[in-house]
Amino acid sequence: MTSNKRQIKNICTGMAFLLPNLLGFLAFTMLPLLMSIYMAFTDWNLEMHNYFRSEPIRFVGFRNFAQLFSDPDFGRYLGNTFFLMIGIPFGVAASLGSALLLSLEIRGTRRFWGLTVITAVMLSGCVILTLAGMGATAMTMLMASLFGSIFCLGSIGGRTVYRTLFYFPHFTSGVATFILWRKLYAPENGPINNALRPLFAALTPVAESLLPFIDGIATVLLVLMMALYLAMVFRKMRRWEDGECGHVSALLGMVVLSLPPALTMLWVDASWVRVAMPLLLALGWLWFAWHIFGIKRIYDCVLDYKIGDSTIVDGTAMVIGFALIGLANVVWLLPELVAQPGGLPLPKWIADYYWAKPSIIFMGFWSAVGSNNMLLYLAGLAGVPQDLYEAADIDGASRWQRFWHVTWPQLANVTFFIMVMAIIGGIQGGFEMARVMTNGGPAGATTTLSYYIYTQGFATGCLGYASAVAWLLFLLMFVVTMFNWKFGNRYTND
Amino acid sequence: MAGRQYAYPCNGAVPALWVNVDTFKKYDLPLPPQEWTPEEFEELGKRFVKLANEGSRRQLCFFVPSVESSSFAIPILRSMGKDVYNETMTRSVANTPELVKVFKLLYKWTYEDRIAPNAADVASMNVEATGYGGANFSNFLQGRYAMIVTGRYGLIRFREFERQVTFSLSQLPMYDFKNLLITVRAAMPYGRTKSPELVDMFLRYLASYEYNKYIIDFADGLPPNPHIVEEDLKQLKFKYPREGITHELEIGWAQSIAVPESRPRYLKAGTPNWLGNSISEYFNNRKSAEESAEYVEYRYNLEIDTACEANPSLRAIWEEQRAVQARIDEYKAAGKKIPLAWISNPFHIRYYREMGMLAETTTAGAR
Repeated sequence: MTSNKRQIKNICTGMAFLLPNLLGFLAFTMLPLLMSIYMAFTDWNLEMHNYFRSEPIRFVGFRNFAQLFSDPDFGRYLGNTFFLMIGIPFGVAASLGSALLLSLEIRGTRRFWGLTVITAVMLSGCVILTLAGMGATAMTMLMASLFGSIFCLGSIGGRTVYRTLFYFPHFTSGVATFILWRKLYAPENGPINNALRPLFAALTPVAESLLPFIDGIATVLLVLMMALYLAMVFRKMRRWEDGECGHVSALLGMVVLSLPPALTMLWVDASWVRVAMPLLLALGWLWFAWHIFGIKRIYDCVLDYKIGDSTIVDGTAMVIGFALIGLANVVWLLPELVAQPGGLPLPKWIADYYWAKPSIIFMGFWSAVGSNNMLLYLAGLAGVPQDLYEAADIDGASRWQRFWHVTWPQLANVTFFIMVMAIIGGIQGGFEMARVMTNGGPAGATTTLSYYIYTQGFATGCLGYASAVAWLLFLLMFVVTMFNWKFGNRYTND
Repeated sequence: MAGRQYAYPCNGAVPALWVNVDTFKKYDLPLPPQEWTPEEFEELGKRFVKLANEGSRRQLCFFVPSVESSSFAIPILRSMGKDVYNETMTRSVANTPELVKVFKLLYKWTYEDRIAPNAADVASMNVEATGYGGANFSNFLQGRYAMIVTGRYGLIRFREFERQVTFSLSQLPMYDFKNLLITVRAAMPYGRTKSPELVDMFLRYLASYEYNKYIIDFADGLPPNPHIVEEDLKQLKFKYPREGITHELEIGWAQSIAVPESRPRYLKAGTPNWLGNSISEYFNNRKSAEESAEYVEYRYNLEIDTACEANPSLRAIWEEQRAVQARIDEYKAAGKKIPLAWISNPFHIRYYREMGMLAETTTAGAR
C-alpha cells in the first residue's frame, strides 16, 4: 500500500471514530442553534403554527427584539439576573478561602483526643437536656457536637476528609439541595430562623434603646459612605498621579464609586441628602477633572492601565457604600420593626419579596464554598513555587503579605478563569432554583432571564420571542466575556 | 356535526368551600351557611382562628387556605356586578373600585384578621404533598384549615385518607350577585377525523348512564349528563352519610349560579395569570391596591394587543368585535337592553339576564 493510500485510510478510520460525536454535535447542538437564530426573526408561535393550523411562519425582522425592549418584564428580570450575580465575588472569595484552609495539614493525635472528649461531653449534655425538655438548647449543642465530630474526623483523616466534605454540595443533586434549603428557610419553624430567634429577641431591647438616636445613627452611616467615597477618589487620583492608573481606568473607577452617592438621592428620603450628595459628587468629579485636565503627571501609562483595580477595589468600595446605605435605611425602619408584635421580625426568606433574592444568594454562596472553583484553586495553590514563599519569609513578610504579594498574584490566572466562568454561569443561571424553590416568585422577585425564556418558550409557546431573548442573553454574555478577556487578562498580567 | 370542531364535557366542577363539620363542632361554632357575605365570613373566621389557636405559640390553624388567588377574587368581584373583561372580551376593564375593594378584603383577611395564611405561613407548614390540592387536603383533614376551596373531585382524595370527616358545603363569601366559577374538562374530537363512527361511539358513551353513574359513584367531578343519574345522586347521601347533600348542592349550583371564567380568545394559552400576579404584588407591598387593579387591566390589554398584532386573522375578529362593543356601550348609555348575540363574556350574559338587561336573541342581533 502506498503512503498516500495509507494516509487516506488512516484519515477515514479517524473520521469513523469521530463520526458519532460529530453527528451528535450536528444534530443536537448545531442544528438547534441555527434553528434558534432563524426562529428569533420569525413569528413562530405554537398557537398559530401547529399540526392543526397551516398559517405560514412569517419573517418579522427585528420585531421580536423590539418587543423585548418594550416588554415591561424584561428589564425587571434582567435586573433580577444581575442582582443574583452580586453573590459571585463572595462565592469566589469563599472558594479561595476554603482552598487555602484545605491546603493546611491538620492531623494531630492530641487534638483528636481533646476533640473526642469534648464531643462526647456535648452529646451526653444533649441527651440530658432533651430528657429535661430543653429541646432548643439541646439542638444548639447537638450542632456544636456535630462540628466537634467533624473536627475529630479531620484529626484522624487529615485534609482528605475535609476536601470530601467540602465537595459534598457539588455532587449532591441540585433539586434535592434546593428542597432542603426551602425547608431550612421556612420562616416560622425552619432551622435558620429557629437559630436566629433568640438573637433577634436579644436584639429587640437594644434596638428599642436606639430609637431616640436613629436619625443620628443613620446620618453617621451615610457620612461614612460619603467619607469612603472621598477617600477612594483621593486614592484613585493619587494612583493616577503616580502613573498607577490609566485615564480610562480612572474614569471607570469614578463611575463605579459615584453610584452609591447618586442612588442615595433615590433611596433615602431625607432633605439634607438631596443637597449633600450633589455637592459631594460635584466635589469628586471636579477633583477628577482638575487632575485629568489641570495636572501634568510625571509618570505616564496606557489608558486602561490597572483597570482591574477600578473594577475589583472600587467595586468592593461600591458594595460597601451600598451596604452602608442599606443599613441607614434599616435604622430608619427600626421604629416600625420594633413595634411589631414579638419584637424585631425574623426574615421571611423566600416567602418575602425583599428577602427572596438575598436568600438565593446565600444559598449560592454555600454551594460555591465547595465547588469546582475550590478544586481549581487547590490545583493553583499546588502550583505556586515554594521558593517565592521562602524569599518572602527571608524578607520578613507577614502571613497577610505572603498571601497578598505571593499567593494572590500567582493565582491571578485561575481567578480570571473562575470569574469568567462564574459570570457566564451567573447570566445563564437561576432557572433550577426558581423552578424548584419559588416558581419565580414572590411577585416575580426570583424570575431570571433563563426562567423567563423557559416560560415564554414552553408555557406560552412563543418560540420566536423566546429565541430572541435567548440570543440577547448570548450577546450579553459575549460582551461581558469580551470585556473580561480584554481587561481581566490585562489585570492577570499586571 | 361531521367536519365541525366541537367538544363534549367529560366532567366538571364548581369549586366552593368544603367545610370540615367536625372542626366547627370541636370549637362549638355554628356551621357556615350555604350563602354568606364577606362580613359574615370574616366574623366567623375571626372566632374560629381565635379558638383554634388558643395557647399556641404560633398560629397553626386558619379558616381557609391562602386567598392569594384569582379563583377567590373573581366570584367576589362578580358578586358586585364587575368582571375582568368587557362584554365582548376585547378589552380588560379590571381597573375598578370593586376590584380594589376585593384586593383590600383579601389583604385584610390574610395580614390583619389572619383568617387565611400568608406566604410565610404556607412555607412553614410541615406538610408536603403532591397531586391536586397539594398539602391543603391534609391540612384540611387535620383541622388546620376549617374549609378548603375544591370541587366534588376532592372526594377522591378525601375518601383515601384514614381520618374520615363530615362535610358540608358553602358558597364563597359574596355580595349581591351570587355566582361561582365552573370548570369543565371536555373531549374534543378532531373535526376532520377519518373515523366518525368511533367518535360517535365515544361521545355516546360520555352521555350514557354507565359513564355518568361511574362519575358520580367515584366522585370524579360532576357528570356531563346529570339528568340521567338524578335518582342515583339522591342515593349518595345514604351511601356516604358523611358527605351529606354536598353532591346535590354542587350540581344545583352548577345549574343555577355557576359561570365559567372569562377567557378572551385573544389571549395566548399560557398567558400569565395577571390577576393572581397583581394580588401577589399587592401582598408583597410592591404596589398599592389601586396600582394593582390598574396593572391587571394594563397587562391583559397589552397581552391582547400583542396577540392581535402578531396574528392578522385574530386582529380582524378583534376589530369586528370592537365595533360590536362600541354598540353595546351606546346601548348601555341609553339604558337599552343588550342583545344576547353581541355578548361573548359568559359573566355578562348571566348578569344582564338576571338584571333584566338582556335582549334574548338567537342570531346576530335578531330576536
